[in-house]
Amino acid sequence: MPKQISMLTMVMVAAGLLMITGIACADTVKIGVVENLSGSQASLDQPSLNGVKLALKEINDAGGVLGKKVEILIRDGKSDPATLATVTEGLMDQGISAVTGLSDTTMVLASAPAAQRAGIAFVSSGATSPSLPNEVGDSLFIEPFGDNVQAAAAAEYAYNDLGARSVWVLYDKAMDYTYLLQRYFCDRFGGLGGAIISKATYQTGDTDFRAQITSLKAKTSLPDILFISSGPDDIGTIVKQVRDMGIKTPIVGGDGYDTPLLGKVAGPTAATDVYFTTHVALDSIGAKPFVQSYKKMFGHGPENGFAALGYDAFNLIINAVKNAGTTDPKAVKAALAATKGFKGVTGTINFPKGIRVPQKSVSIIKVEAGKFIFVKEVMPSEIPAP
Amino acid sequence: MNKNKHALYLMISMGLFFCAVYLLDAYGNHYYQRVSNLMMIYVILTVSLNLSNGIVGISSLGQIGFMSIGAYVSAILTLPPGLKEHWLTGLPHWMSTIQSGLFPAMILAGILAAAIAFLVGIVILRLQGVFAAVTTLGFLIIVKVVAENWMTVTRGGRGISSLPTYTNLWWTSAVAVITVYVVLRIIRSPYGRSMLAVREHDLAAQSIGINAPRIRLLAFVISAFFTAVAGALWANLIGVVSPGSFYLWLTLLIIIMMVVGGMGSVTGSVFSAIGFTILLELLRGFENKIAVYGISSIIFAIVFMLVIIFHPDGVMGDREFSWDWFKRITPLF
Repeated sequence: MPKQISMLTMVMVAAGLLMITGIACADTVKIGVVENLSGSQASLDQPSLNGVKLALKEINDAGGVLGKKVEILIRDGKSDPATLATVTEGLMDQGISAVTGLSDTTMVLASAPAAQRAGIAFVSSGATSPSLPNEVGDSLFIEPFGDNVQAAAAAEYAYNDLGARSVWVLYDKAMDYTYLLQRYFCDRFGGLGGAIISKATYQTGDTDFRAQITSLKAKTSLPDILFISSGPDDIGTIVKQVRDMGIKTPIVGGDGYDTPLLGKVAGPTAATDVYFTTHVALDSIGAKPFVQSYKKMFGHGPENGFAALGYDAFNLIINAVKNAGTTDPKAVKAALAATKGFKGVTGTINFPKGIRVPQKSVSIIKVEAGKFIFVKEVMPSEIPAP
Repeated sequence: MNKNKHALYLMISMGLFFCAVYLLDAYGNHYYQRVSNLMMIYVILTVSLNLSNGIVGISSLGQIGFMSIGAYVSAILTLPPGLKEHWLTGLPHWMSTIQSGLFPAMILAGILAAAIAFLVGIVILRLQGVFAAVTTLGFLIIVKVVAENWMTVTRGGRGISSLPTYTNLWWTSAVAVITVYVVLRIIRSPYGRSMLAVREHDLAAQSIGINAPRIRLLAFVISAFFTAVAGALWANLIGVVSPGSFYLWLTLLIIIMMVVGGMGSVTGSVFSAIGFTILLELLRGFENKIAVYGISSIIFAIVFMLVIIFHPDGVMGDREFSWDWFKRITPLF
């Protein structure tokens, strides 16, 4: 008897699933959204998805595009390359016009080749490696600035505005993003005449950074700044441990710092005198309407800049659909490549001919007592080659 | 008479299977192809895990470590030379100028993993039960740590990307069929009978002259070989290998597939791997519809628990599939 019951349960579950998944949809413009909604990337990709949802609501409230409503197909990659590759592949025959999502280079490398094979444009909302579009092919666009641009901006700001002449570097060797960011930073900082005292590494998942910090303390003289190239999960802990060990030197980094975790984990006393480059200053006047609508829809302000990036990436695609005048993926891709002067929350986007990385300015943010304060916009004068 | 009939059925079902492979490979969409490829890879992994864990009774939690080794060997061999010189600076010069196809990469991956399994097995297989489980888990962790830190050969945690995607349904299904065939033949050979004897009662088996450590080692090495081949297929299917891909999630997934199918039943493993792959995809569709992400893992766990509660031996126990089962359904057979 128990055998029959268990079989019955399983059959019923399976039948229920089939029924739910079988419901068809009417004539709409379909856009795929691939994000890691669970796992290590969720703190970046969830806000990014919220940004997409906000943009979707605004577009549909205004009547949609090409006279049709817009619909999104959301897929969770679970921060796992195999799952990501499978779910992206699964989107390809769903009649979508383009795909957006993902905030990490390695994740995009696992996911985007499926879109490339299908000839459907993939606009990464948050991955910042400038060499990415060339590694995947002509279907991949990145919406934020390249890491070379933000690292050069950080180096120029540190050299010119903070008056730094020497730097100690700590980076996560497990991520393309953190590795490339510090490399571009050292290129530009060295080019300006600054000295790189030494480099130390750690790895995603590490929670104790005291060995690296001790090696820094053992130096005869402390550097002017610390450049710490880290992802969102580690930066709070690192800043806390650096400050706890009595080092008050300014800390500089990239857009991985742009997470509420920095203030929360490190606490107000530790999270001070920290500078980072990012896509948008959410307290600036330009971002106000976006922040207000976001608050209205989700009951809280944007968690970080990735919300704005997701919002912009989605609007960028809809803009391309409008310009193409059709939902055909090939035409949408061509329209994306020809994007000129698209005004988003994170800046104005142009794709120079043949280059699928936009030219944008970089926002510098200062962290003071756990609070993010906008400092200035920087357009670096020299950018290291990707 | 009966035997001939069974051979005929087998031929027909194999023919149908490869017809399906042909149709799917030629006309199926990429999504179904990808899911089928993963399904076949899971079949290889589950069946080879069953050989060491189910049939010989080694409590190994480290098989995915061999998969990782296989995936990395294949990734290094098949990566285009331009990228290899750029990324993998620790390779000897002759290696960074060659690019091999999938078949040699697969075989070399298998052989290297088997050699490592041999060396590791000599030490680990002296232990049994929970001790073996802990040490093999240690092996899995060591493989991951090496992959994360051997920057000049594995590119560390950033992984190796841009691999040529050679793997197609013909490769995965052919390897799956070969794996099932080889494992079934081993079970029916004198070696296989010794394996079952060792599992049931180590001492008794030794008392009738079976060299138990040798039998265990043999199963462990063969299992590692096929697991690594599956890793090579996986690497050239996804196109990116990174240390985190071959860790606890896959380990648990494959163990669940094996336990639900029935420890000791090769055909049970095959059905279970196929069933769970389909279930996971259905659950994912369900998850997207109701937009509660993560619920698929919960339902997956509930199904697993239901099977364990109502069918502790798994769906098939340690029986194998037999054509005679159809006799009960229809008198035609």
